[in-house]
Amino acid sequence: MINFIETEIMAEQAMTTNATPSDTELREEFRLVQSRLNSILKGKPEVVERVLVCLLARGHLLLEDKPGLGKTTLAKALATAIGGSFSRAQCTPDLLPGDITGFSIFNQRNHEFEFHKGPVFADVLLADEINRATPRTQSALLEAMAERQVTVDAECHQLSEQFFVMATQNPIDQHGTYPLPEAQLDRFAMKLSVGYPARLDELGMLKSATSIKNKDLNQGSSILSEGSLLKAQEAVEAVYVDECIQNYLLDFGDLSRNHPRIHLGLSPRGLLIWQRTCQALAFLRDRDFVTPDDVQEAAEPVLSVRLGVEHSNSTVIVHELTESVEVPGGFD
Amino acid sequence: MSSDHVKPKIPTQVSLNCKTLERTHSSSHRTDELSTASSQLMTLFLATIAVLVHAIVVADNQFGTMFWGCLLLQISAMLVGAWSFRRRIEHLGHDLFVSPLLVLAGLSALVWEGVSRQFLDSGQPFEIITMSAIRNLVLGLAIASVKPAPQKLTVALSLFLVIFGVTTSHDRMTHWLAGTFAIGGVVWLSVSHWENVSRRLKGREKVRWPRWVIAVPILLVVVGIGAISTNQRAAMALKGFLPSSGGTGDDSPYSRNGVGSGERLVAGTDSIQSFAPIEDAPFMQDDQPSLYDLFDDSYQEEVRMNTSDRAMALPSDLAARAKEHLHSQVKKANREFSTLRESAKNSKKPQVADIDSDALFYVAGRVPLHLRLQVYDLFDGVSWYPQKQRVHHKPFEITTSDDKPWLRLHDAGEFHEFLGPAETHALKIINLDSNVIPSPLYMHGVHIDLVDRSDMFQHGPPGLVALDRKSLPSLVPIHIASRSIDWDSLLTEEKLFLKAHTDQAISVIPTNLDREALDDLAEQICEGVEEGWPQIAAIQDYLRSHYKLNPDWRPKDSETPGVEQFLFDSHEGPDYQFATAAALLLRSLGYASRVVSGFYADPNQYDADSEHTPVLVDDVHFWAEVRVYAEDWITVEATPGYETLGPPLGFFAKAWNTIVAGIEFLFRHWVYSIAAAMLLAALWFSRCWIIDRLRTGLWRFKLWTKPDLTVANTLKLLRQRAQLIGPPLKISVTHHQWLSELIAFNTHVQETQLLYMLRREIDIAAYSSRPNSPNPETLKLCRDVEKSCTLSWFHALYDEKPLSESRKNSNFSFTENRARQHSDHQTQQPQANTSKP
Repeated sequence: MINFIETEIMAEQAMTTNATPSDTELREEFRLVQSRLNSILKGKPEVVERVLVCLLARGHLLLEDKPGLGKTTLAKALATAIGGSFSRAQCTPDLLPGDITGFSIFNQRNHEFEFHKGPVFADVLLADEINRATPRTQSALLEAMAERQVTVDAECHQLSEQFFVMATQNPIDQHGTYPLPEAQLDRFAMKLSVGYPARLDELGMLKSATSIKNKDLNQGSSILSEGSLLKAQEAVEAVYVDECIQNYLLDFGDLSRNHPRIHLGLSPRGLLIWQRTCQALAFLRDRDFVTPDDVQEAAEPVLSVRLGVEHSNSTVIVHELTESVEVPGGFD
Repeated sequence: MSSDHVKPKIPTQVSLNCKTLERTHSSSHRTDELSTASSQLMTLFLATIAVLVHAIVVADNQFGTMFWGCLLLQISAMLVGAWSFRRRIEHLGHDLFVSPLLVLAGLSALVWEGVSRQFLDSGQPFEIITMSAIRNLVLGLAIASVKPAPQKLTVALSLFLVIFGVTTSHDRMTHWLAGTFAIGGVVWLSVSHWENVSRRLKGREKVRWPRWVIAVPILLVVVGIGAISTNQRAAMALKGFLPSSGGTGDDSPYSRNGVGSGERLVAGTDSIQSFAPIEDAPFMQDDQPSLYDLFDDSYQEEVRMNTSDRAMALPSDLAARAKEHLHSQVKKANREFSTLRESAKNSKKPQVADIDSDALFYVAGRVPLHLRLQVYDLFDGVSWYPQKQRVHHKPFEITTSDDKPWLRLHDAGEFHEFLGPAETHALKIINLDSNVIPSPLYMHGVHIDLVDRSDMFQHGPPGLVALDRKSLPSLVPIHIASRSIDWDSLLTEEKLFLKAHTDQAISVIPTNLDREALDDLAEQICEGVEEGWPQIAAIQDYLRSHYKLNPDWRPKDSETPGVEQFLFDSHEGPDYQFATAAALLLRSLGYASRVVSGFYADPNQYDADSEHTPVLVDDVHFWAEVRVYAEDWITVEATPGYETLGPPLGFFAKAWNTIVAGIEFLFRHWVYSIAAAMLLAALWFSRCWIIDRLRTGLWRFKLWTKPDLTVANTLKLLRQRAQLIGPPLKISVTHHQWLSELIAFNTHVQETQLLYMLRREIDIAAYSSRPNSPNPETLKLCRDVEKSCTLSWFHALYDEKPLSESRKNSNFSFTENRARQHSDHQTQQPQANTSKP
């Protein structure tokens, strides 16, 4: 049966008939990134895939999980693999917006104000425990995420083009947290949770930790060539979305807005991000068009961050939505 | 389509399988399936004979240039067509669409007939059109007879054409041609037999006759024969489709042979009765049989006897009344009725058994219905004398109900509990020479549209109304309101039936009858039976069960009164003897009784199409009535085979009766019931198969008409097959997920490969930006999928794994599984590297 899985994967590669050679190369590079990340975060291929999807869709990622599950490792490895800079902001209640965006200080030597860049000026920013920061700091970060620029002392500073935020938050019910308001959650493309690895994967992890040689694997050099990420993001934008798929998304939107148990339905921005996520997923799956499977697969991470539902219910409700919207036949 | 870098990567096992698959497909094609030249030649020969026979029948002894020209054209077209078709198939291997053309060829005969009748004012009779349609089919099939299946059909239809032609035509030539056809047929049979044998020896053809191919036609034939043999109407209808000498009542200006009522009508001079009623027939002088003739026609003429003997049998005052009757036979409807009749054998008129004469009138409403026309109370041993009309009558009164004038009569329903609810019947008189309205007992209203004057009506025989004119108007509906008798409630009312004084006409038993024997019989019948209705019912039932209805029976000797011979000797006789016997037995027990003549609206004659019951000449009937209270009467139907009307049934009673009637019908036609049940069972058990065949046929049709939707239609077909067997598919399951499930649970290499390819094609066709252009590879893939993923394949799949259970979590399970496989595949490499230092 494995033979056929291979066949199928190859057959799916064949769907990218319109792919230019550079598209194929881009995909190959991303496959390598994926495999590097998989080797680092063992047993979580779907998480790795979704992280990449989020990156390709120019979205930002919210990881909600317990400490010590490899969030930082993943962010660092991602930064390395895409060849960008990595920075980290540990959010605490006393963290000020300037600590995130940067601040100007007076240089006494040349009598000028000098702008000291904050951690947002990296390619990949890990905002750890974002819900422990004060709302003021949170909103500063969220503005940077949305606009890809920061304004300090009336001076506008552009952020990196491939600026990507991986924010983590503790589960809501822990003490000393400022939960992110829904309006702000909407700026994240996805919410993921890594979860504990399976026993076998954990065993592999323990084993590899005892081997000296394996340690270097984590360090690695960048995989993506310069400008690859931008090209890939442009290629994702060009992935074809049939009108029936767009209507399928709109059906979800309508349903979420009229659902009795959802008090905040899907926003137009949410729909846009969802469509882009589907495109990215299709791109990663070597397709140049989106299928309903992509929509369904992206539904949970995309919807769970932005639907106004009780936290514990989100998976159930997303599943309910998926079950009750009719899949488009595509032949009409 | 599939780019170049994919093909080499497909595992060798699969590609090998594909090759073998293709080889088996291509091997069963082309020349092996064609028939030999000799058998085709024989077929063409047989077809030529059939065409010749058809031409002779159509020509009808007029063989002109036109005849030979048409014949030559047909035969040469057939031969040339057959030759070029054979060449085309042998050399080019093209498989042409023959069947639609054949259907068109067959229909063209009908179309041409329509055009011809409409514009050219000439036409052919039905049998010739049928023959022409079949001739066209034969020509078309003969052209395609290079293939075995059309060849066999050609021969079968040619045979039909020849036999049909021989039966239709009087030309001697057709008989010779039929003989030649028989010889040619034998040669063709032997040639095609050896051809078959040699083909089978080569092992190329698997003869697989599905059981249903044999079973279904047999069942259909059995059921068809059953339907025809048990249903007169079906048989009549069928006769109309076959060439016959008329008799269905239709006439067509295009007909050629047979007796019809069209222009070629042959005047009947020998036997008038051998013709159906025809309006403009020259021999019909008087089409209105008088009422008296009606009874004589049915019961034969009475035998005249010395009347003085009979008068002696009555008390003196009643004897005077009898005499009075004998002398004044003025009004024909008011005559006495003699139970001594000529026997049918002495009749001068030949009786033609298979002629149905027209109805006298029609009855709308519930039947069986006893329509009374004359009431007799005085019996002298031979004849019944009409009951005297009352001299003083209440004047008639017209009331209006729903804007309709109704003649209001005495309604006994207000006094008697044994009467059912009021209901109406309508009579439509066609052919009845009487001014008395035939009406049921307990009539309480008469309505004839626009007749709103009471002086239009007059009193008829007791309980009856007549119109003040010579006879009833034809074709005018006469509505009658009446009440039926609730037979069950009679049982509870013991004292209704008062014993009568013996000196009245309604209770006298003539002395020329053996009174003792009569009393003995009556006592024997009613031994231990309660007085009242039970006794009456016992006599009625006794006569119905112990005596046989025989309309042709006549008393053997003239010495003993007929009713005595009927009661004690023959135990069989006509209905008036039953009525007489019942009346006499009742009188012997002390009940007042009388006899009524009239019509019996037979429920067996009920015509469900028009919702009418025709009353024919044969429906004249006699029955008895017994007196209840002082003035009212109750029907006593002693003749077997005749039923009385009860009150209208309630819903449950009706439903129950329907069920019982249905069960009885099934038991009566048990052979056909079993055949039909088996057929239904077979249809039921193979319903999935039949539905699937129909859908597959539709799919094939769309393959041809809408090739750009082939992939979509194939997916639809597969889903329909799955739903026929398994649970319904959820709306939220994408085809990708569904096909992935099938792939995951399927264990056969070939189907898996095909489904993978189909899944990819569907993704591209449905959601990509590429146009759906029909592509030979895609078409082949879809055909292969249709052949591989059959209904039985789905059966096997669903029996092995209940997909419905797995479907619950299928949304992510498979993709995750695949992703896992994917990542494993990729992570294996570095691990492999590290394991080798």
